[in-house]
Amino acid sequence: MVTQFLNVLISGIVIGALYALAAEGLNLIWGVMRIVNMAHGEFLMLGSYVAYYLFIAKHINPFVSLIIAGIVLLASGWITSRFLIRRILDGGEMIGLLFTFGLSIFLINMGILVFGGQFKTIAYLSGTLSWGPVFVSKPKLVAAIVSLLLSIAMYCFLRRTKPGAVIRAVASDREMAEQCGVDANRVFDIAFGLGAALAAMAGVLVSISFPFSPLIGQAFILKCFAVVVLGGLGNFLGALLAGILVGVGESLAAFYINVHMSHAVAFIIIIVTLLVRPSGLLGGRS
Amino acid sequence: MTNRNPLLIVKDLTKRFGGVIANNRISLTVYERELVGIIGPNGAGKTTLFNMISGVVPKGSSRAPTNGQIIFRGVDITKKPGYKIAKLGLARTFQVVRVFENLVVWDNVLIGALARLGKGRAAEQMAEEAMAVVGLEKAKHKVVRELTLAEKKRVELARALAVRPTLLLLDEILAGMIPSEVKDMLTLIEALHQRGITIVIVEHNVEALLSLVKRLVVLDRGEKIADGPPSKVVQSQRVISAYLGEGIC
Amino acid sequence: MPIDVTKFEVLKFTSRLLFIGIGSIIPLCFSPYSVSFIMSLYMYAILAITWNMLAGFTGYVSFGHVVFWGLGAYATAILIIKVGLPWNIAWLLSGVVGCGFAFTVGIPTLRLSGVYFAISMLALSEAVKVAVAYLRGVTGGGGGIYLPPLISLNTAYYLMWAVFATVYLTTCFLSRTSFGKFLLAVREDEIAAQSLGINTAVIRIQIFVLSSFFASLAGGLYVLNVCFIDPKTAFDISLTIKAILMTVLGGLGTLEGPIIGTLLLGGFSELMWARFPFIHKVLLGAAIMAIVALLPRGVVPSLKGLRWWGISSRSTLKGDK
Repeated sequence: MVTQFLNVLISGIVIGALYALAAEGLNLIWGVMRIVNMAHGEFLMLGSYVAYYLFIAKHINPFVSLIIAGIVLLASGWITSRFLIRRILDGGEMIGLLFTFGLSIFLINMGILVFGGQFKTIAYLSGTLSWGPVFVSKPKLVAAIVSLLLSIAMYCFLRRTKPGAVIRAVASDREMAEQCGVDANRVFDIAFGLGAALAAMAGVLVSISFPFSPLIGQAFILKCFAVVVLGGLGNFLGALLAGILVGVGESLAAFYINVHMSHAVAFIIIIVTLLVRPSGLLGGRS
Repeated sequence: MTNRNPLLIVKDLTKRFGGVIANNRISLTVYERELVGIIGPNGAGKTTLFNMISGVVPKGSSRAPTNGQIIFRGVDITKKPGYKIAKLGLARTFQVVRVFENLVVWDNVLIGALARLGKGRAAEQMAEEAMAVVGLEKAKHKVVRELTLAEKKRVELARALAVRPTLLLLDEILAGMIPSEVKDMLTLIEALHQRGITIVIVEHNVEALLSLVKRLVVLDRGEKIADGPPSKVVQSQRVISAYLGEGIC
Repeated sequence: MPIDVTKFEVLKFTSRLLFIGIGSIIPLCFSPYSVSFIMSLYMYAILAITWNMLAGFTGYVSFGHVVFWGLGAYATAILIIKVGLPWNIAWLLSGVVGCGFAFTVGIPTLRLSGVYFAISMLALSEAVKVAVAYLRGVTGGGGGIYLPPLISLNTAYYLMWAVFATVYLTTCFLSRTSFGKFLLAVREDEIAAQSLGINTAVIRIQIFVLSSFFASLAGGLYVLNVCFIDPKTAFDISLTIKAILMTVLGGLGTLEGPIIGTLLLGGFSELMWARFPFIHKVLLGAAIMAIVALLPRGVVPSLKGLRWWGISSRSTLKGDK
């Protein structure tokens, strides 16, 4: 009984770390640019496929692909922001929402066209690790640890470095930052690129953890929203905590209720949080 | 000789946001047909006071005061939502002008009148009247977005007037205006006052108020520190030191 | 510039009636395939118009609009199969079900700010999809529900046409009432609207419920016509996407915009869908981006030449966001 619970808990934490990483990017973009990137899940999906094709074609170690995918999406995100997102920045939140929504549809269906709709997976790591009766899936554990490391790295970047401070300044008060000589548009491009990169890296980790298809982004985007909403908009640590909570919640629901309910956990979290405590657990901009 | 019926009674009003005390035990009574000015350095809590009285707060903010009571026309409005208070006869303008940008001037003012009367013809008449008072008849079919700031403020004012308010709260209506526009607006406000509307006006432009009002209230860091005839208030030590560095006149 | 107001109004009114009236003779002139196609256009137009009611008129963008359509379809099917009601009663009741649902979820969610509302509606739509799949006993689960054919194509067509005409004329009517103006006020500046004495919360709920009514009826007619519904179809985000795209393309916040958008997109889709099933969705996505970025106000307000036709320059319900 207790070991069962522990296993469920661990499984939830492990996947939660991945959710957290995926959501950090969304949080960054939303917090800095005030745009809800509806296409965020698709950046994740692209990361998965980059890793997949590098693995299949060139036998490249997924952890190396992690870096490659990160860079590719950093560049792509930067370009998207520079040439597309900038145009719609003044339109208000709804315009941003609708635009990235369109981008999402575009990317998903491009994905289906180019990659095919079947599920793929990278069988790089497999098996389980166990300590006595407690066990955890090896690829998922590794993915979780890497996610955690990347999240912490991102946090340190934002908190401890000068570029990070500039990004945070623009996030908290764009006008003030501009008055101090910061070119907000360039910061937006970088933030968007970073957000995309984070999603892509999460995508690579997804690719070694379970099967994915071009629709994987759709599944993840709601979980990302749940994480961002629960953790508090713009709150990095909040996203980490929230990610784990979402993961654990899903795991518990899947085991103790049924699989269907686990899908509903993310939705329920979104709705309940927005109604009860819209600024999130740890507080953020609401 | 002012009519001494109290229209608005604010008792011990306190409003706390997180760690900040925006309004600290403010007590204030405004009598019918008065024209009261409220001044104070930045962060004194003037807009918060207006928000508490009018019940209209930015989205996400909480409406209820932390403590205290507000009575308008004999009704306790302390916890009432903004739209209910407006229906009792209170209208306001906003620090950052809130007009309906994509609509034409006529629609802006008409909506105010409709909100009060709910019906076609009488509402249209009220709207026409409000526009005339403010001097906007010529701009009737212009899209508000294309107007100057001063014109937009007039639209906002006309819209507030179309509600036929008993009490009108003006929040920094002179902000952003050039001296000639200020002069015109002051004349307008005086005219409105003559028509019997009680007006409370928050302003940064103290000089302008001195010529307009017979009573000046000063807020500083959430507290009321002076309340009386302008000539006396500007000489008060407390007021002068509150403005030190800002320059009161 | 000033066209005689009365003449203008009469022209507007007649052209609207004419446009609607044409629909009545379609089944007499065209093949069943065409009738079916035009009926689906009406259905999309209903979805677009109802989405516009919320997004265009009040500024509340919903990404879960399909949920009402799906609930309408399911309610109709369930009321017929499980409760044994005659199809017409079941169908009308499904509209009420949609209203009830809208009212229930609207009260908490409409309090949220724009972006959060959009996301929570998406979450809601997905949650309902999961719930419907889960409640196997009532809804047939993932397998869906089959209906026997209860109405002819022509009946379905005329009913869809009637719903379309009703919802369209309702929006036209509303735009002239004070309620319609209050909707605009809510969209433009909700805080200011409150300061005038407008109960913005109630207004939002009212339009939300109204829009859900027609959307649900459209869903009910769909299932009566196609005779099958499952969670995947009922809560397919594609429908929301199309409704959004059609409205944005045609002109968010205008009266005719959603209809024009539907015509344009419907025609385009019909040409593309059969030949390029997946490319057409790619193009859909690209189209949304292009329109939002380049023509955010949509086709209608951008075409000066069309301004006389039903679009009052007196800006009854026009706007861009």
